[in-house]
Amino acid sequence: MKTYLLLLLLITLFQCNPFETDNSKEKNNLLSQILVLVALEDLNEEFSGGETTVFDTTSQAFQRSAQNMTDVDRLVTFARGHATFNVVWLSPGNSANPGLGPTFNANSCNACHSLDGRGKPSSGITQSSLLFRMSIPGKDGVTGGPLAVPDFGDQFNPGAISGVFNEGTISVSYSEESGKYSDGESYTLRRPSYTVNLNSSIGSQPSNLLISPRIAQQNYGLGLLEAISEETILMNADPTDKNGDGISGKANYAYDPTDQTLKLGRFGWKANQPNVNSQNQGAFLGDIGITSPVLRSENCPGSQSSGNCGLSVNTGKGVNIPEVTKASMDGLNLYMKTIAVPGRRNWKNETVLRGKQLMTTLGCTGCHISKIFTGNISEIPEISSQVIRPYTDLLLHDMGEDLSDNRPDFLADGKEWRTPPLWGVGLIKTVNGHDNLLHDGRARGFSEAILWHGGEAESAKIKFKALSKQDRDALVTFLESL
Amino acid sequence: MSIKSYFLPLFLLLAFGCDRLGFNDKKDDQNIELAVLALLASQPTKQDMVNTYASIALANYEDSVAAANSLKTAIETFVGPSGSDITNPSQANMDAAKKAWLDARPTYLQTEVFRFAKGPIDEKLDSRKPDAGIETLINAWPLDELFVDCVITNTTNSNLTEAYLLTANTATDIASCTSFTSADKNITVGWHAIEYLLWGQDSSTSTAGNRTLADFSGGTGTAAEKRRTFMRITAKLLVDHLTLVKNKWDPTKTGNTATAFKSDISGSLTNIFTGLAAFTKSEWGSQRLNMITSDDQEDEHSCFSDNTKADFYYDAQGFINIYSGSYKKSDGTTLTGAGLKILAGSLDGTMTTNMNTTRDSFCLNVSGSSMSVDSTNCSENTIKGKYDQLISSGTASSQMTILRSVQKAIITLATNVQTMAKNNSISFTAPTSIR
Repeated sequence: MKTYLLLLLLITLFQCNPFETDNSKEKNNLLSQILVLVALEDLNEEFSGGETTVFDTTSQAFQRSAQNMTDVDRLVTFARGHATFNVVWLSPGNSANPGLGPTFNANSCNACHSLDGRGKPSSGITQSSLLFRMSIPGKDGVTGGPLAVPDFGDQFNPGAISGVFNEGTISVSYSEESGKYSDGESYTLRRPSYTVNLNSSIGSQPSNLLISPRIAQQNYGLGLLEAISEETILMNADPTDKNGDGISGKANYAYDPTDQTLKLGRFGWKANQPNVNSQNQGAFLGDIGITSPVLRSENCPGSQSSGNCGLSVNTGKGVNIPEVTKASMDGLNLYMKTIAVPGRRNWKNETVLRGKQLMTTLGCTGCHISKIFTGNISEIPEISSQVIRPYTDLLLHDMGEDLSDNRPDFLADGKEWRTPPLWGVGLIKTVNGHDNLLHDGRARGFSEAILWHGGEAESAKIKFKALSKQDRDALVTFLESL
Repeated sequence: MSIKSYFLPLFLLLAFGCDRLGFNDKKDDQNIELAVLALLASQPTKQDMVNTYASIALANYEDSVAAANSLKTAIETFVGPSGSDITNPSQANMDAAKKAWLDARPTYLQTEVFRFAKGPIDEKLDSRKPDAGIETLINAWPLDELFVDCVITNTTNSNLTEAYLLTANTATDIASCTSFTSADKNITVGWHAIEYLLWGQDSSTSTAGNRTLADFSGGTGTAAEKRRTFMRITAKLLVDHLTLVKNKWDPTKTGNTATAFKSDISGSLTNIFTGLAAFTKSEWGSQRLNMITSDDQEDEHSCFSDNTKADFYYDAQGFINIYSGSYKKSDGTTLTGAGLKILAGSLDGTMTTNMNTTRDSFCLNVSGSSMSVDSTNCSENTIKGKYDQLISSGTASSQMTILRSVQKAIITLATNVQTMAKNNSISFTAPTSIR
């Protein structure tokens, strides 16, 4: 704790600004000295998730319960939540776990978030862990969110139970584009393009259809991110870029169906979900076709409401009894909130430390904020008052035309994306066997992900391209250590 | 521990006689005496423990193969062996086949404790289905009943072969049954496929599945004929698959892994503890108990036969077997040796209590061809009714309270296993959802 006091003292000293305002050189010197001190003071940096951190480098690294959670009752609830996460839902008419559909993307949580990890786009028309949000221009009258596509809803569902139409096919193809670093080394990036064929048996495909590809994200540390106080997050917001650093940081406000209000968005690629509970219930209905305590109506938009759509209602239990119970939902929520963040590897390695320094000098940490404190969550003390290193500000940033999906989502425009947390990303390869990054999985590895950055991150990307190969590798080595 | 301390139990044993200590079987007497003599010579070692684990595994899988063979025989008596199809089978033989299924389950369930330990049951052993773990061909659950029905409806009897059922297993596009997208639940082989064929869907809490004899009665070209063929083949495949696992544990067989297992003590200890914790925490203690919160009446491991209580009972017995180093074989004799207990130290008391709780909370009261409800012979703190009745009794019922405490005991056992590994400096990989 002492180290933080020292830090606080230095920052306070700096903010008091006892120097002449025109003496900017000296000010910068002091700033670098403080930064050095901050770096020295970054003790316990390997504990990315504070005291929840688990050091595990196996394929199960994303499924551990928080290290500091020893309460047997919560551990049992965690195990129950994990079981719910793994349930494979079957078509109505089956004995065990009926309720899948009527339309769906997958039949279990684990199908896309394999081992609580990250999905990747697959070639051809089967897109198991890449989903597509769809809408038409305009805003939903109730939620203020995107306006659903008539007869299809706001999410593309390629799967359907027997007797129900699936919503069609979306296939992806890539074109390779080459570029060069300043030192002459060349690279190629793959740019995705999507071919959408909505099922004409359901309805017609609107000419002004908007789609947003979204890859399934890792599930650890979500409780910690939810435990960050709203004030802390908003402190980093600078929507009009008052400080002129080229970085805005805009809060999204998303609809919470539990109390029908707009709240600060924290989760989802566009910060389009306010909390874990809302995210989970939304995913149950949108991805698997499972009704839940808050979202009790099956997903049967427009013309789909006729025919077998209603079959998916949990037969024998009554229309208004959700397919996933409140008890299961509570278990799943606790599970999602208390999965341990994986600890770092090689954090003292010289190359890693050089990469860490570059994160700052390139300006990456302007959005990928390295250190944040969580607030108090009385029902889960394990995630309260933690010093965490998520490498995100949870805010929206303009990422440029190349990454734009041209589809608004609450306050986010097409070019704006939430800064994704970087903790644990070095283990995706171990857990999920791939290194596909960004919202649609187009980047093959960290370098490509950086090279796709634009908009507010354009200058950081240009600086990255100008680095020596050794330094570029060092930055990647640092990211691998997260 | 000095050598002296071993004289006391020996003295007691001699003084009171084996019978008074509860060992009536002559063979047992000899085993115990041998064990005591062995104890005198030296304390049981980790090597002894690894050897015992392997011996119990072999004996247990041998029993399971034999029981599956009896099931296969009963099914062939019911529907006729290959080439001698019986178009009008009898109710008595159908009941006998169901009984054979129920009788065959206990030995298999006790082997479940060997899962996740990088042992034979976790391998891919059937060359005809090279991508499938052998366990998924033996005990996959739950299965998509509609898929099985669809395959039976859409295929022809001559198409139904071993190769076909293996191909159909987890297929999404066979026999025009294309709308079934939960591929991993499209199960056509193993215990639960046979269970579904014998019992049919169970949507009632008062009885098990309600398949009638009519579903098996009918001549050429009927669904009944295909159902008979389907079941005959699946029963044979079950024996084949269990034999593949058993042979891996048999040191006299070519290609066995038992010999290597016994020679690599350190590696095997890691696998034993890692596997045991994984099975206990992730499978037995959570996935199988999902219904505690799902409130789904038939969300139970053996939902068609209503035999789920036995699943829990014998899973616990499997844990007790390797912990205590003692396995009661189907022929009534008991195999004894060094169990994990020798490494438990001060955890022994709590583990023994938790182990017994996880088993004895399930009052089996087996009678006839299915679990019956018995409120007279079951003690107060046990689960008396059928499992689906327990689920329907609601989350606030006293029976559900018992089940919740069972889950707590199982999860605690998993944590204990982890602590044991740590205390004995055994390299240990925590399973899913254990810290």
